[in-house]
Amino acid sequence: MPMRVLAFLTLLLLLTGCGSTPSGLRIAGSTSVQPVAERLAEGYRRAGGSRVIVQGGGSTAGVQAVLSGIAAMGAISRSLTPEESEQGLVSHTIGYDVLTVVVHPENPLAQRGLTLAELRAIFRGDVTDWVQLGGRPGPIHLVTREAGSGSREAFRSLVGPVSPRAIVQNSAGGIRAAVMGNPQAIGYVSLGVARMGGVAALAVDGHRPGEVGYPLVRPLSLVTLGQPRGEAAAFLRYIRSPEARQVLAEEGLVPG
Amino acid sequence: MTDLWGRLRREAAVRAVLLLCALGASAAVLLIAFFVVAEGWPALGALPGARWDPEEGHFGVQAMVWGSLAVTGGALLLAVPAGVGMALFLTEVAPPSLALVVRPLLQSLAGVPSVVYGFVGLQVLVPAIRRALGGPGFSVLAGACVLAVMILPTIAAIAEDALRAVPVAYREGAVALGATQWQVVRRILLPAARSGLITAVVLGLGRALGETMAVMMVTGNVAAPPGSILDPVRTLTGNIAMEMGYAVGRHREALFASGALLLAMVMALNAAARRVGR
Repeated sequence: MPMRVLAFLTLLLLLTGCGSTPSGLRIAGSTSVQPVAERLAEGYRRAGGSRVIVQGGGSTAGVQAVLSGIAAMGAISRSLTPEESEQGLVSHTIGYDVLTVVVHPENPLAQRGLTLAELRAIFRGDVTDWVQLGGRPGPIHLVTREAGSGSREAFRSLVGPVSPRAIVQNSAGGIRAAVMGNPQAIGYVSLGVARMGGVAALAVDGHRPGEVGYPLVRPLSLVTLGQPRGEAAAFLRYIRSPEARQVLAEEGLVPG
Repeated sequence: MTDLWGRLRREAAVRAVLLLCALGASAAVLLIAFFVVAEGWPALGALPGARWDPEEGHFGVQAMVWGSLAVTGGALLLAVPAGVGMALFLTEVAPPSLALVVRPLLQSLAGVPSVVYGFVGLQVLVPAIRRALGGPGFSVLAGACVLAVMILPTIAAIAEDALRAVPVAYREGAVALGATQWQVVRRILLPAARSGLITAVVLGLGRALGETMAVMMVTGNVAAPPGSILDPVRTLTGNIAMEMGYAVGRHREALFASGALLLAMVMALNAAARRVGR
């Protein structure tokens, strides 16, 4: 019951909100984009723009929201499918999220890095001891995110499935803490979190995270139906500004 | 005469207010139970399965039931002897001046937010277990230790009350017959305070089974039944807290259904303990 009531009140607020601020811009979609988009919305407002409302729901929900006209822009953390592009959706990449594989700084493999194939075998649970990779003998402790998390989905699509025996933490901070305290652990976080220190970011296939050629990268984009007009175009222009690029960098994104 | 009527009216008003309070509390419990069961109803049938994998449409909570029971059981094993021991110390052994220092310290444990326990567990306990005993450190043992500290003040406080309620004449009688202090405790105090001690255990158990945040931070949350106390586990509460944010459709229903299951488990354990206590 409380959920229903809450949902109803939220809807009411949203609907009335729509009526009173006809110039507001609504963005719905990927929960991975949400925190960045919220910070960009704040900056946009401070720079004299109108109010931007950012909602989650996932990439596909964002695409649906744009197609049905509920939101002016959708946020996606994947590429548009051919079918979606055919319906007239245009995607504007705002930056690249760099998925960073982290280990304890004392792990000898922190220097050498791993190949994508090794990473896949480790997280699938086929390689279970560091000695198999030329490291110090000892079991590998996998750390992953919970079902539904954007990072987990990205990791699944870029690397592969994760063993059900992996330890689950429900935040990037939790993964960092687990890896910091355990020389045998390996996990994945976004580059911004990896740079907070205490963990070593691994090179994958010889490329350090953030470098050109690093494979674990996914585009974060905003989509519009047709070419962006009005508020949407202005917001996209703001995202290209030096101030917005600074925000993207702070959130661990590589500007597009 | 009028004074009497006034007093009676006031009495009636107070009665009505108290009745309303009682009704409000019971109504809240019933409403919550109804809501949780209604939301989870369609997924109840999926819960007995062994595999939890929402991405593939598997919603079996067996592993989490074992996880909750293992962590809670471990916590009780640690906290009940310690809590009852502390209560005995405070009532029978400690000089009053020492008890005056120890008791507030013990009770202040109850006021520490659970996330703080979880954080200390994550930073200190988990690495310590990994270094000393092996495994990943995130484990049944870590969860049980953190929970034990959390429920200790509850158990100790209620056990102390129960022991104090035992009439002094019992103690005096036993001592007069030549019983040692340990014999008094074992043969007289503990049996006489039994019902209160069981209440202490039940309240501790309820809190342990329902605790979420601190446990989630230190148990590793692997949705598989633990093979040893050094294996990571996921509890029912941790599972709900972790996945509720994203869950939609059947997944969301399954989480509500596991909430209903948790409610049923707590009620059943309470009822069982009450029966034993009588």
